[in-house]
Amino acid sequence: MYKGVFRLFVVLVMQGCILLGLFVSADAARKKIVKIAYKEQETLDPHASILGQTQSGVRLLYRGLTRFAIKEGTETAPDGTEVVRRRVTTTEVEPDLAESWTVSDDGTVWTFKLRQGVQFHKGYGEMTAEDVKYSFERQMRRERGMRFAKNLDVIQDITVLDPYTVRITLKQFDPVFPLRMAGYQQGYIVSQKAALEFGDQFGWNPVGTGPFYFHRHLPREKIIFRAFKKYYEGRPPIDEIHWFDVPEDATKLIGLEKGTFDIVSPNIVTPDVKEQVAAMDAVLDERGPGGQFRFYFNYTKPPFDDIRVRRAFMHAIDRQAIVDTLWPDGLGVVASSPLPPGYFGHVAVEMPAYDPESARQLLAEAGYPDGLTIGDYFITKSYGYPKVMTMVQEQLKHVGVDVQLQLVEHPTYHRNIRNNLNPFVLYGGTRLTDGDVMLSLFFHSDEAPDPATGNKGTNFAHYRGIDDLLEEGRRTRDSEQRAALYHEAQRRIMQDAVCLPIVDIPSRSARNPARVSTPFDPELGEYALHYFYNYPEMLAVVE
Amino acid sequence: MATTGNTATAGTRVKPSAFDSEAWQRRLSGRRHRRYIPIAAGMLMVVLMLVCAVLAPLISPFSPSAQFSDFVLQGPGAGGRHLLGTDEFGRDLLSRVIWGTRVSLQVGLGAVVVGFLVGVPLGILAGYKGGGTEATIMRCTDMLLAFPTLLLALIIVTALGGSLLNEIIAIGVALTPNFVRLARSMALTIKENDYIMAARALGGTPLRLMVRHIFPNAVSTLVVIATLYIANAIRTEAGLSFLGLGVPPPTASWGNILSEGRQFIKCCPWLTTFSGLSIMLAVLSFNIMGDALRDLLDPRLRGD
Repeated sequence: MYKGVFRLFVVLVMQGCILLGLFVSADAARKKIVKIAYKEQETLDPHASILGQTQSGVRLLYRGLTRFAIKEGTETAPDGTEVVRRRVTTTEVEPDLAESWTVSDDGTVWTFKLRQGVQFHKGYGEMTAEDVKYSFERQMRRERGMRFAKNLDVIQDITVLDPYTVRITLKQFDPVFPLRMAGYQQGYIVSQKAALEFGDQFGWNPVGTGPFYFHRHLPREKIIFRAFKKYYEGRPPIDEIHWFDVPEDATKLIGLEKGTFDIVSPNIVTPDVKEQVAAMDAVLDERGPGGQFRFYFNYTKPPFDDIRVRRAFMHAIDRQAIVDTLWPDGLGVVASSPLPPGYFGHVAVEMPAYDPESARQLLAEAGYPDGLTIGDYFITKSYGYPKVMTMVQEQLKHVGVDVQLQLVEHPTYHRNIRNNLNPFVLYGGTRLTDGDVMLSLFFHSDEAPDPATGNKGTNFAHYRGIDDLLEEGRRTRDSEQRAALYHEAQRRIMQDAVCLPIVDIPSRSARNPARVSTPFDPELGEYALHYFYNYPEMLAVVE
Repeated sequence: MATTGNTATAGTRVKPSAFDSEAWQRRLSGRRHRRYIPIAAGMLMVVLMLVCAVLAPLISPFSPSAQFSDFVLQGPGAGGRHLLGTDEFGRDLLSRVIWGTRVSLQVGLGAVVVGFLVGVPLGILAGYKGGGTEATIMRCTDMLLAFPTLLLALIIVTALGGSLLNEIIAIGVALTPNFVRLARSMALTIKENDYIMAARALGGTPLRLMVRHIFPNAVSTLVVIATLYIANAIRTEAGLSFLGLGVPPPTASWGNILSEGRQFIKCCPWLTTFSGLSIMLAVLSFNIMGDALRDLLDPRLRGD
C-alpha cells in the first residue's frame, strides 16, 4: 500500500520535473541573452569603484544628465598625417536625463531641465530633481566609499527649483562641467529612495534609470541584468545580460570559440589575439581613447633630480621595440604625447629618440660613468605592467642601468607607488576625455602623492611646471585658446623630461558576430570610452 | 623499482636443466648488473643537469634575457639559431631553459640542505631525549605537516618576498617536518642498540652519543630520502614560480617560463612543452635515482 503511494509520488515528481524542464528550456530559447566574460564587479554602486569592470558594468544600470555625443568626426591616423573620417566619441555632450540646460553669462550657474516620466528600476518611482541633488551631494559629502568626490569639487551649491528643474552653482567657471555631468563615474544618477533605504547595501541593491536592472548576483560566477521595460528610450532588444566572472584570458577565448560567451574582454591583449579571434570567426571591437602606458620620473629625488639622468633614461628606452614586440600589427601605437589622441587639447609633440649612445654619455656626464643600480623596484604582476617593465629592464641594462624588479600584487603596487617607493613609475590609465582632467590628475602639483599628508594623487613625477597653464585653462572660455594652453603644457612636460609616454592602446573586446551585432562597425574604431558598452541599448542579438 | 630483482627472476622462464650451465651463471651476474641501470640513468640525467647548471654561461647560445624584437614568438628552429624557439619578448627558449636548470637545482639542493640541517638535529634530539622535548618538537612538526608543502612554501614566500634565497628558505622550512619525523624514527631504533648502551656506559654525553653514534648510523638512509625530496623541492619551486612568487624577472626558471607561456598555449605550445618537459625530466631523474639508491642500500628490499 505504502509502496504504491510512494511509486505514484515518484512518478508525479518526475513528470513535474520534465514539464518544468520543458517550460524552462522553451523560456530560455525565447530569451535573448548576451553572455559577457569579464571580471566580477565588487559593487554596483556607480560612485564607489574605479575598476574597469565596474565602470563598464554600471553603464547598463545608470544614466547621467548628459552623455558623450557620437558623431562623424575627423581624426589623425596613427602615422600622424592622414585624416580619416570615422564615428568617434567626441568631447561634446548631448542631452540624456536632462532635456536641456541653460548657463549664466559668467558660466557659473547651470540650470538643467529634466526629462519627465523617467522611471527608476523596481518601482522606485519617477526620477526627479531631488535624486539629482542627492546623487551629487552624497559624493560631495564624501560618504563612505565615494571615489569621485574630487571631480565635483567645483560645485558650490545644488538647488531644486521644482521636481523637473535643478540649478547647480559653481565656485568658478569650469570648461568641462557638461562633461562632468555625463553618465560616467561621478555623473550617474541614483535613486535617493533606494540609496537611503539600503545604505551600505546599495552596492548590491542598485537602482538607476538605465536600460537594464540588476536581477541576481551569483558570487564568483555571474551577475544577471534584465531588460527594464520602462526604460525611457524604450525597452532594449536584449532580454538579459549575463556577466560572467572569468579570471583567465585563455578560458574567455575558448568560451568564445565554443559559444559559451558572446563577448569577452581579455585582461591582456597578446600579439596573437587578432589571429586567434579571426580563426574563430569572431571580431575584435576597439574602443578608445584607451590607456596610455608611460613612465613618470620623480624629479624631486635623486637620481632623477638631474635632468641628464631623466634624458638618459628616455633615450635608453626603445619605445618602438616595445610596441613591435608586445602590441604588433597596430594593436598599439607609439605614443606621440602625454595627452593621448582623442582627448581635448591633444597635439603631437617631439619625443626623445632611441639613442643608447647618448644615454650612456648623459649618464657619464651626470656622474654615473659606470651606470647605476635601482634596487627594489616594485612592479605589479597584473595586466601589461610586468611585460613592459621586463623589456625596459633589458634595454636599460644596455646603458649600464640595473633595475632589480620585485613582483607584487596590484593593490600593493598602487600603495607603493603612492608612497613614492619607486623613483620612476610605470602607470597607465584612462580619464575623462579632456586635457584639463587628464593633465590635472597626472601633472598638477596638487596631485603629487605624499604619504605624510595622505595625498593619494597620481602626479608621480611630483611635477609643478604646468600648474599655471592648467589654472588659466579653467578660466578660459574660448576653446581654441584653451587647446593652445594644453598644447603648451604637453611641450613643457616633454622639455622638462618628467614623463615618457610609451604606447597608446585602445581597449578591446572580442565579439561573436553571429550572436551579437552592434550598430557600430568595429572598423570605425574609437566610439566609446573604456567602459563596456557606451550604449548597450543599441546592441542587438542576431536572430 | 623496488622489486627490480624479483620481477626479473619471475619474468624469466628458465628450465631447471639450464640452472647449472655457465651461460645461466653469466645471466645471473648480468641480472645483478641490471639493477644498476635505473640508478645509472637517473644519475646520468642528474649529472647532465648539473653540467647544464654549472656551465650555463658557456653552453647557452644566448643570454637568457637578450631580447630579439624581430624574432618574437617564433617556433623551434627560428632563424636557424633559436633551436627551441623564442618567447613573447623574443628571448631564446633554449638559453632560458638551460639557465632555468640553475635555479631549479639551486633551489632543489639548497632547500633540501636547509630542511636536512634543521630537521635532522631536531629529529634526533626528539628521538633520543623523548619526554617533553619529543612532545614539543613533534607537535610543532605535526602543525607544519598540516599544510601541504606548496601551501606552506607559498605562505612563507608571500611573507618574505620573492627571491632565490627566500625560495630556498621557504621550501627548506616546508620540507623540514619530513626530515624531523624520519630522523626521530631512526634515532628511536638506533638508540636501543647495544653499542649505544655501551657508549653510554663508558660515559658518553648525550651530545656525543647523538653526534658520533646515532647520526652516522642514520645518515645513509637520510641522504637517500633527501634525494627524493630534491624532486619534491624542484616541483614546489616550479609551482611557486608559476604562481608568480618565484625568482623575479628577468631570471629564467622553468616555472615562470611555463607561466608566461600559458597565455600562448594555443599559438606557441613550445613554450609550455619544453619548460614542462624539463620539470618532468628533473623530477623523474631525481626520483629514479632516489628510489634506486634506496633499493640498493636497504637490505630488506635486496632481491637476493
